[in-house]
Amino acid sequence: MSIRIIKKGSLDAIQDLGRFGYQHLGIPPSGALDPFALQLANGLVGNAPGEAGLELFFPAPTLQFEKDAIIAISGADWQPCLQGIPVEINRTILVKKGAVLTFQQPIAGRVAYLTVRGGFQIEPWLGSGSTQWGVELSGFKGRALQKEDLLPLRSSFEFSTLAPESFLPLPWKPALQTNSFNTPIRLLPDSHFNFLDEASQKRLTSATFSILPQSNRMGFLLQGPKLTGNYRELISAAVRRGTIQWLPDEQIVLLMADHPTTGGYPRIAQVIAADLPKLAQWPASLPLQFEWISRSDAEQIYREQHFLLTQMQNAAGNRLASYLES
Amino acid sequence: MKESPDYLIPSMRITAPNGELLSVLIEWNGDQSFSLVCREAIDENLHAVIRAIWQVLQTAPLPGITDIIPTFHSITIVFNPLKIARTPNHPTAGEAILHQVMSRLNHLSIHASFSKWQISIPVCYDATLAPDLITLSAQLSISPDELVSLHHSKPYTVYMLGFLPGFAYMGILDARITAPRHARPRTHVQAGSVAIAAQQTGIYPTDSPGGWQLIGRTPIRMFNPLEPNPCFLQPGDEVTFYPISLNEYQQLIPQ
Repeated sequence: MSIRIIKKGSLDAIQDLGRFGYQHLGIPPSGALDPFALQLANGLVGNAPGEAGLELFFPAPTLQFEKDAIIAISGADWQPCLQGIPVEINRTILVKKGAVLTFQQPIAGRVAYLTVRGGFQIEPWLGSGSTQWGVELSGFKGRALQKEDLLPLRSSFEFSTLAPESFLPLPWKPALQTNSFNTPIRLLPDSHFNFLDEASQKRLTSATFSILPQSNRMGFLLQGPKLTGNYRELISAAVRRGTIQWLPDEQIVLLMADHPTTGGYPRIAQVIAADLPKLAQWPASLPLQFEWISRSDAEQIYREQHFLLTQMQNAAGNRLASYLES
Repeated sequence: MKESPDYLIPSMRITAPNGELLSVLIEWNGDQSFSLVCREAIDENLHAVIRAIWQVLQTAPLPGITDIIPTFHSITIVFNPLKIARTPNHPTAGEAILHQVMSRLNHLSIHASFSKWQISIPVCYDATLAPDLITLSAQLSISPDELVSLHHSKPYTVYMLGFLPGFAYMGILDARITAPRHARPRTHVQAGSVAIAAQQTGIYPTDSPGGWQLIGRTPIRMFNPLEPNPCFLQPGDEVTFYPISLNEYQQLIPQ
């Protein structure tokens, strides 16, 4: 039994934390655009942090549960509704068979995650459930979900006290700091930072940028002041999520989850790992600024972020387990 | 900037197979990745060094390293800091894993023949499967037959894979057949298309857009997700092309 896609969204695809160990074969890691939100949503339903979830963009899909399920939605808030009744994001929710999930309007964020306790019934490809576009064995048939697709669930539940098509948000939620979009995204310089002339080096952290609408899971195209200097293309080398490439038109692109494994544009800087989730949710309407940080601070912030997640996951997992036992 | 840029640290010197003493630099790429980088060139000697580093690091992989990506003149190491033990001397996971990698490479010796696989790939150069063969040979002022024969007359090294899963960048082409990319890439190139661009040759592993000059097609499937090793070629492989007729091509193409 499954979740049925009543109406497809703009890009509904299965993602986990990515496919690692194959980049030397040109196989990108892909994975959730906002790995923090995916792990949070997994924690709320008591899954392992890296369980595959359903990644959604707005306009979001309409989904119907064909069996009872325990779900959570994290990341973007598009006012999710069950049976037309608004529910909160970052909540553990029991859902009865027949209930319909819709998303009303974009309030905040770029990407959302739906997780189900026990996970989706998908076969991993090369150790990961993430969708690699065009590779049928990955995610759900290597593609975004379409109308009438049935996304099978691994675990079965029976909430006999709940009426058909009803739902029950459980009475707890994590006290989370929401992303703040008025602090800069933090950077470390990369191999070709010195290709930029001095003024452009300064401009990278003094100017403001905005994320262009044609941005996607492969990369965020930024609009900002022209960056000038000693531009040249390079013999291809590895690139990563968060790499800032300097393009021939003097603009920059931030590589995201579906980036190819290698590239030949100058790599001027790298977004620190801890800021990639926030970057993924950054609103197109707000200016984006960068600031430098040290490598050791970047690593420390990443550790703290992970510690926070682990604490939340443990607490949520324990609460849910004891609720289900009682 | 809060601290002086520490992403460029001269690191070690290695003697390449041709006797050239190479400087290998450490470049940090963010907080979870660093690269060992030789001078920027497409060169068999540089790549022999990259290959040797790759093979040392692949044998008994260090915990916490998630990807090792060899390219033409660099090798990038990606790590998960949460899986790496720190020490008083190396208080960050980054320093700790760099130290472990460099210790491994301490006594690196480079041999040109460092365990290479030799792979033969059949190519049909019939003009019906090679849309750029005629125009390109005219541009290069040689006959199509000469272009074809120069393409399959020498072995190539797989320098790296990238662009698409299973797309191998091979070189170095004979100078007489180095060709520019198309100014406007094709929106659809068929899987198996054998192509050249600049000093390189490659095979499109799946149907995709592409800007390289198409001079033939192989019936071999370069990318098969059903296989445990989905990519036919690996970095460091030595590839020789051999010509087949259209008839042979049609018999070899998987049904």
